Amino acid sequence: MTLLAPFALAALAIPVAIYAIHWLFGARRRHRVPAIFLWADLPQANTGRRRRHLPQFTLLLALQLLAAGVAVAALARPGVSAQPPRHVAMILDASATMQATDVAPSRFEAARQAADQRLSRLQPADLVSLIRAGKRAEILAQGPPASVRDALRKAAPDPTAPAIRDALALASTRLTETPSRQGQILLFTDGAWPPPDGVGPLAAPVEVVPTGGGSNNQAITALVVRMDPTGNGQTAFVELSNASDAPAQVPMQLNADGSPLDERQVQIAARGRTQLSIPLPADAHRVSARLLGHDALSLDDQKDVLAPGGPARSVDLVGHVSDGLQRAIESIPSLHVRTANDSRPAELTVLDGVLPGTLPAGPLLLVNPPADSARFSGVGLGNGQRVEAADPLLQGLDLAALQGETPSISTVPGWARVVLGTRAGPLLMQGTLEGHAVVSMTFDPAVSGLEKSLAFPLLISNATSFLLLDSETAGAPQTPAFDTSESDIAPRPVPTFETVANADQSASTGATELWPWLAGLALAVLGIEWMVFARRG
Amino acid sequence: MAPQRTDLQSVFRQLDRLSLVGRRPASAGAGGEHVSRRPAPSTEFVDYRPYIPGDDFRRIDWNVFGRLGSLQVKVTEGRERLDVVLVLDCSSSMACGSPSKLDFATQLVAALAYVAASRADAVRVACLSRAQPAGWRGGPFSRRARVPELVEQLSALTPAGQIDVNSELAACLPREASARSLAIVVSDLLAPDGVAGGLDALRARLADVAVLHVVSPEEMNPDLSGEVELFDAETGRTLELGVTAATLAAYRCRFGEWLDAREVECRRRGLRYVRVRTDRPVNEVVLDDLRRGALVR
Repeated sequence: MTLLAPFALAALAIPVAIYAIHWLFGARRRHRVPAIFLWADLPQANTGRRRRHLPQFTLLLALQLLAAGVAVAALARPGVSAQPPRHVAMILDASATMQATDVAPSRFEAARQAADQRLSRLQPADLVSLIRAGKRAEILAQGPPASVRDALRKAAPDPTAPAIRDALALASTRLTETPSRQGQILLFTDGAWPPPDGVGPLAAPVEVVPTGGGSNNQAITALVVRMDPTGNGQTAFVELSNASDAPAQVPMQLNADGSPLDERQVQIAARGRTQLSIPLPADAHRVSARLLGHDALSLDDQKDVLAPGGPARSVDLVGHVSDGLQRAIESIPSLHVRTANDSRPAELTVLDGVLPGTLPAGPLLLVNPPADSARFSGVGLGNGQRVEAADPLLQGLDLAALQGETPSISTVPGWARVVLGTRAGPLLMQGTLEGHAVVSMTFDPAVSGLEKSLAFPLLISNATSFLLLDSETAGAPQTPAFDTSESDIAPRPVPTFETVANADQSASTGATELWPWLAGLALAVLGIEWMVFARRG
Repeated sequence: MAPQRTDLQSVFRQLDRLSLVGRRPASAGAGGEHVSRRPAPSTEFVDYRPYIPGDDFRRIDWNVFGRLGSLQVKVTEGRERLDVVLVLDCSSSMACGSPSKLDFATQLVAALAYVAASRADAVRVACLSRAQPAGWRGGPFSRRARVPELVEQLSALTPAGQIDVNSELAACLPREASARSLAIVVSDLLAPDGVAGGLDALRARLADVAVLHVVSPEEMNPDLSGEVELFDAETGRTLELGVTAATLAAYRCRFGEWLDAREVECRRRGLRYVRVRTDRPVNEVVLDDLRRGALVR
């Protein structure tokens, strides 16, 4: 039961005043008797010395107090929650930080259990929208509480930052579709994300259900291997970060092609970063760095890269390959451009301006593919640019140089994922086309002069490295790249989310007000009191 | 509620055959139905006596002369009217109860007056107060036709305030009342020290006195509880009481003792005493209680 006008309880002074009036001014009942001498000196009779007595709790006084009390209760407008059907949008933070194990077994599991408990509190008539805020916001299930439990059990986190803003928008949209229900947004999160920008007024109040809260995590945030200019060796550049509020000393091991090359203790300042450069042999190809210590998040404790060293990979150049493109490919020491009469399939094929009906075996790098090809028909990119800054294809690149390009197509085919795009269309896509790993550069680098910029050979190097690594790890399960920003698992202050003006009213209208009944009862009691008074005279 | 003509007509009809019972021979004049001390020609044979010169020849019993040879005269008993004085207590204490004791008492007085008038008795009504109410005509009435007039006068009576029963009982009697009059006092007899003095004074003037003690159920079993302020209907004095069950029990015990004391006071003086309750109909009281008390027959 809730009071919609609790300030009216101040009127409880009225019954007190009634009692005080009876006390101060209430006379004893006068009773006329034929002779008073018959009453004199009776046991416990004479109390006439006291001038003021506590009022006798008569029926009239009881009725007056009851009427006043009921009237005051009516003024306070009590309401009984009629329990209108609810629509609860449960947002499950499925970011990489939710895999931290500072709470057992993990933050994500704790959040899942909390969500399950909240489901148990709901009524069967309630509606639940289960939203997973991973790399992107997606609705896992919607329906009665029991029906979303299965989807909740199957939910899994991503190694990326959470799309909190999109999840809130999605939840708000879902709630507005059921205006007759009392809406609420439950956000199960560790709060390890920066305040999202541009979150407008939401359709319902947000309740944050926190989980976790530690910050003890060290991570390998970057591992890059570069061939020395002499060609006699390579250098691994490793960057480590410490998200903890205390300095940390962590053991790090560097492996090349499965053999340990280096192991050392690395001191990292509190919430600081440390860069290391470690020399590698020229023939090292598969390089991995690993933190041997134990911290809250193991997802960012290892990083693998393919070094430019090792045996050269065969590359076929097909189509009208520009000089700039050929120079960029030939400049990569680990690649060997084959002659055309080699019958064996190349380990990588570069198609410049062409797209044959039968695609060559192996991974493909498509440069300025024909726009009229049916393989590139798809849906539009929609509003806004799309930049996957953490994608390996864009590592080390000056994006400004690339974003000036003009896309040759305006749609995104179903097989592709946009890594870099503009409002006009995609510039760089990645995906699997007819069983081939494909990186597609849907612009002509020769037209804009990109070939002559420093970004172009780096882009080609990233693309060929990505495709060759992808082909080499084709048997291994594909996992999205870890978002290095997720290494900071410390919770941030959760912002206050704005709600639309009538969001709170929807909750209040769910209460059934009792004041008309109470007012009627007060009048009835007053009527009875009047009748009793009139009858007594 | 004061008696009304219409209310009392049906009641009085049941009292037509009744007659007041006096303990002394009536002496209010011929024409009555009560035994008189004075022999008078009548049909009520009492005795024979020898003829003496001057007797009415018509009273000689010739059958006795034929059988015995001596002249015997039949002696008959005379019948006279009874002189009745009805004394009504008009004190404020009589205004208590529901119906009030005064209303009940006026109805009872009217009924007794009717009974007396039906037998051609001389009825006088006096209020128990030294100063009679303005316009009061207390009689005598000796005809039933005068009873409505009496009822109207009784209806106009109001409580007269505080009255000392002891000093007023004898003083209120009309001068015409003789020692052979029958006085019927209708009162609640409420006096702190009893009414012995008043009864003695009354007994000194009148030989035949009956007391009808009016009691209301409210004063026998008062419905009181909690803190009350008792207000004396006559003196106006107040008494604050915290009434409990023990208080009520003590009161009832005291009131019962007080009633018994009043009855003893009357009976010790040879007075007829009848206790009447106001919650009973007047005709029942007259037909039952007063018959049982040998006041009517």
